[in-house]
Amino acid sequence: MIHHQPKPLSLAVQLMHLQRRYPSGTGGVHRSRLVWRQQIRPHALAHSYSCRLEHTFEDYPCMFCVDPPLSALAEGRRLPHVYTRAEPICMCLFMKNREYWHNRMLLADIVVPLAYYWLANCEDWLFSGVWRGGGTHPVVPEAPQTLPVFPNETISTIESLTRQDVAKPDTATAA
Amino acid sequence: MNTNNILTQTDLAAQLQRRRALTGILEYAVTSLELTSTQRESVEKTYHECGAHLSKSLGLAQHLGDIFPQGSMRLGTVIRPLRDITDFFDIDVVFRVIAPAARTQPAVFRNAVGTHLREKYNGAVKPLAKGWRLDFGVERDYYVDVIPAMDSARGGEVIAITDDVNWKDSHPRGYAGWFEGHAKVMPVFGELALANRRLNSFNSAKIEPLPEHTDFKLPLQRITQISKRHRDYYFNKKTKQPDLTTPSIVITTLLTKAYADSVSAHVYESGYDLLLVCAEEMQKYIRIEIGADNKAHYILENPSLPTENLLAKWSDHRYAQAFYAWHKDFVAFLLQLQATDAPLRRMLSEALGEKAITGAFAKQADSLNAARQHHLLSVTPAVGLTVGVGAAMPIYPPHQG
Repeated sequence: MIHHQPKPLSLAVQLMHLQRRYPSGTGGVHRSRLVWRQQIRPHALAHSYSCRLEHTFEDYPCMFCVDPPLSALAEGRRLPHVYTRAEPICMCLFMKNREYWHNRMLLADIVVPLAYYWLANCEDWLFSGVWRGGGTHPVVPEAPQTLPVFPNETISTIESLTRQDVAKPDTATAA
Repeated sequence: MNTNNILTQTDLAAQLQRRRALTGILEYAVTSLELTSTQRESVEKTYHECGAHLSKSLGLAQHLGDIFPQGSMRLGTVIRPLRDITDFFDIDVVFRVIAPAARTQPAVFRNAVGTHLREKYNGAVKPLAKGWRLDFGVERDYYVDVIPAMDSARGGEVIAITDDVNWKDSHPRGYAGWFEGHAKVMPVFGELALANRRLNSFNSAKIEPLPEHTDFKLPLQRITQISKRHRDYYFNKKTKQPDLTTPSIVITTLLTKAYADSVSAHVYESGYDLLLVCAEEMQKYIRIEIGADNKAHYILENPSLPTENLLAKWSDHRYAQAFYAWHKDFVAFLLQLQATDAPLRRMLSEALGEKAITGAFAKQADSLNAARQHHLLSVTPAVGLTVGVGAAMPIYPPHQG
């Protein structure tokens, strides 16, 4: 029996969906790297953040907050739920685990909305010192973390990621 | 429809969402600055006890002693004061003896009330120009100011209060009736339907904004409370001129007049819009007459006692100048809140109090997270995170365990 390997979404398809859903953003694919830039205002009373999403086929996507620099806004406090300490800050939107991200998922559906949510919670944290976004996060090393190589998908893991499965009540949010 | 039009309409919808969300934050904040129901019960119990004690001690026949709240307690516009010394609530109650004032010496009556209050409340009783303050210290975070009163020669519900030397007419029940008559006229708020139709060019789902805001439940009361709170901030913190503070009755009267003329004149898109209109218009109701001395005379009739000019004190023009300076600052503050690049939380915290604003935003954040837990959170690019089943971009939350 030959297992049919489902085709991951290409970076061009990801880009097309980003452009369709967030018409004010801009981006492109160059040398197998997708770079997408957009302004995110998480909600009506929030500030607007200039963000950059980077994604290569092998890695987990990374959403950076480029401007304003969040570490400066934190005024010496350690930002919670981040993957980097250096600017630009890479938001920790989910645990780097294929259960949370795999390359049949749409950046436009998963990563960008999670960035809205993360930024809303980050802005709240900057003001209140309380992270209300839930989630857990491993201890972040001071040095930039090397992202793990994205594992190959198999049909069994794809099937385990049905919509019903991912829509289970969660206690965790952005990691 | 070309792209430019779509973007413009989307921007308008986003601005509307901001003004409605602002309304919600102000509503949350003001609610946290009111008396709690427990405090309200405690206040009511205190002044009823006080009234019963005074009636008994003064040997009044039944129904000849009457105690009732006046001012903000009566109008529903109580708000925690923002001042340096204490932030205890000021609650005014009138203790009225139903007998003509003309036959009684003001000082004798006032002192008798003070003496009897001390019998019951001892050291909690402190003198005020208008009567006596019951100050229970930190045990209860409110002052009850007891205003001794008798009946005015005008009759009806007009009372005579005293500054220890003279009797002066006052008509708190008439004022409350006037205020309540206008406050019960509710504004018509335009539905979000129009904005939603605009957004539906991107998204066919029903859109509900975050925060899970509410409109002003009691618009005139809310508008008055927000204005008073900003007034306190301006005179006590910003300019540090508490002696020049514009009295609440002046602010309340001006706002009520502005509200009465504005509330039915338009359909408003948000409570904030109505607040802004009332704030902008309020100073129009001050009448300025140039007297024979070639000086400006500021006039605002007390609506329940037209012979009384609420701005009599403004013959010292410093009070008038202070009011106009506050008014300008207040309107500018409200306008700045609309600007998307404004440091919103800092501005609101400074003017309305950090605790109230932190609480209001925490409530917003909590409702956002609750929505996420219930899988009701989604993103509409033009307005950000939105709550509502069936929105076009559901968040598939990562989960653990």
